Amino acid sequence: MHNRLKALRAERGWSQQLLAEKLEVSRQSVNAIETGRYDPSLPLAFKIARAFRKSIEEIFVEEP
Amino acid sequence: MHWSIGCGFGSAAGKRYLRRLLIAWSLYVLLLILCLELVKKVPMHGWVLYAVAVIPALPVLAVLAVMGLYVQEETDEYLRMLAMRSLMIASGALLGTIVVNDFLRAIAHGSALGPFVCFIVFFGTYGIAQIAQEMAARGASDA
Repeated sequence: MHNRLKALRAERGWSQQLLAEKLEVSRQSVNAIETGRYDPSLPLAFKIARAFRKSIEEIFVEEP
Repeated sequence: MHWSIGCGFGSAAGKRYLRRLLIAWSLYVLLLILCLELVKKVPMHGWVLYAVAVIPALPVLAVLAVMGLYVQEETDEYLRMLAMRSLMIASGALLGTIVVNDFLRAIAHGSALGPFVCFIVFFGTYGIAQIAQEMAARGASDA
């Protein structure tokens, strides 16, 4: 699954650590999601969407 | 990466895990030395000897419980997945070692595994798996 996490984070000037704190997860988790090594669960995906004030579909895109 | 406090154990649950682990392993070393000295100095046999021999195994059982507690308490789903994966790899290595040894014994009349081999295989593989996953994550992060 592709995601726009890195771009959205850059737009807001947020560091991985700051996003991790907002999501109440580790920085490793944010990094793993950003680099596509880990697909978050639905609750975490909702949390990410809320943090960026976007819908899940605007952040996560299914691979073709 | 949280190299300073262990492989991916930077969360609150991870810190509790490391603290409990340190207590359990310290107890293990202490009880092992005490029991070895006791057996050497005090002649004992039968159930008393069996009971004394089992005492150092108790902290090791506690370590297994501590690992289970960590998986239960870790709220970070990615870190929990890493720990679960390491446990699966360690369990696979342990079962693989036992199965191969059993066939060697049954068919080729090979010797039984030495003492503590299972212990070393399980905990060694778990540690290596944790470090390998951390290094892979660091590699991906640096790329």
